[in-house]
Amino acid sequence: MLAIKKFIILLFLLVPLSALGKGVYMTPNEFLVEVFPPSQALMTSLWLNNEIRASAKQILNHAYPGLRIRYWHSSVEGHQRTAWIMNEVGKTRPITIGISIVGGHIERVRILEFRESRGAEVRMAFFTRQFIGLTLHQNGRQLSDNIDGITGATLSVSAVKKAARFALYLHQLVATDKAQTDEQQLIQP
Amino acid sequence: MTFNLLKRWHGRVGVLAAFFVLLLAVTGLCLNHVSDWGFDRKALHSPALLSLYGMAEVNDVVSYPLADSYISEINDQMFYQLDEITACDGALMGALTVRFTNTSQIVVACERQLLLFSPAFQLIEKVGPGLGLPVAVKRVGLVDGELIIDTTSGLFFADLNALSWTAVAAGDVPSTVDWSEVGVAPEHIRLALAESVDREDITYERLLLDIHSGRILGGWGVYLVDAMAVLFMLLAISGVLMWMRGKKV
Repeated sequence: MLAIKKFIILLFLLVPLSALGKGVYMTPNEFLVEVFPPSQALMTSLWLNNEIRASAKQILNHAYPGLRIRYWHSSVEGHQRTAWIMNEVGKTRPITIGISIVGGHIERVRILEFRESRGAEVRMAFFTRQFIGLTLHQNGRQLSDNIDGITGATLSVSAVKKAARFALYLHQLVATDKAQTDEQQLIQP
Repeated sequence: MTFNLLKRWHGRVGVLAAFFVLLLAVTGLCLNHVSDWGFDRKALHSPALLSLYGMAEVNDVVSYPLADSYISEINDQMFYQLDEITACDGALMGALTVRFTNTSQIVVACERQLLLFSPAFQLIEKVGPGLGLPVAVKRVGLVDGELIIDTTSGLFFADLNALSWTAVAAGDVPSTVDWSEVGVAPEHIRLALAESVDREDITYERLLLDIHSGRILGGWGVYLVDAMAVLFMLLAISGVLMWMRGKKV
């Protein structure tokens, strides 16, 4: 009988596990500290003109919600390093994704906050490390290599891939001075 | 001894589970024939049932005046007059216009986010804690044209373009702040907003699904149904054990 009681208690303890996955995994500041050496990040505003907005729609499959996006950048051995923090909806709630890029190649992808009840596996290193080194194909603005999906997390995987493609596209713009940017502000992560 | 104990517990758990067995059986049966019986097309109209889904009433419309117009919130949806605008994180806390030399920007404040709009009401940017916004915002105002926000962390002068937040020391609190205050939107706007929210189609199929899964009671309802599922499993196991024991006797 004691064994049955223990079994019941164990089952009840396991039930709330389904709610795991939601949460803040990293603050934006912690992400920036990881990306940039102290006192080397400048924050700049990028204004999204009609051309960028049209490209954003093509990449994200929806209009970007805003006319301006902030990014952080510094110069590293002749290459520009940029960091982007984006919110992209998985199924119903936005996933906050941090992406850093050096010389047109993705350096790291981090899930800063996950708000949905399913698909949080995208935060794990086995998934995010697939993005390291990827760049954009010139045609079609697709990632340069395949990203293996995760069963049951299709929409979250898609959201992270779209954010990565958009960040790479924006990096290309700011690295080649093809976009209008605002005042720069020194940020000390 | 063990058999009697098992029998006693099987009975107790059975009584506890009986109501849920009936509830799940009835809702499951209805869901199996949802199209045949028209539950997927029939919308809920009962105010009591709609209130379970947070469906709003006219009195739930919260509005802040902005020049001659209103920013309103109802049922977590935000509106500029009757046009829905982007969602905001937290309850609506104010709306005002910040004027610069050549242009102006509209600031809509929610508890955990500020929405910045162009004069043509195009969203420029959402500014949240990730961009340094101190939370939770309680109200917003203007001091000599400069944006000031009152938060649970104190008062801050805010420059949304430079993203700077300057804390106001206790002794330097401005004596006159033009705070954004709650207003009452005209009746036709409040009615139209309440109706537009009510038009969301909540069908009987949705109600059945939410009763069946426990979601009708929120997050804990799901766990309650999970717990019942565990009880059903235990009943099945204990029932089989007792049947086998009975056969041996």
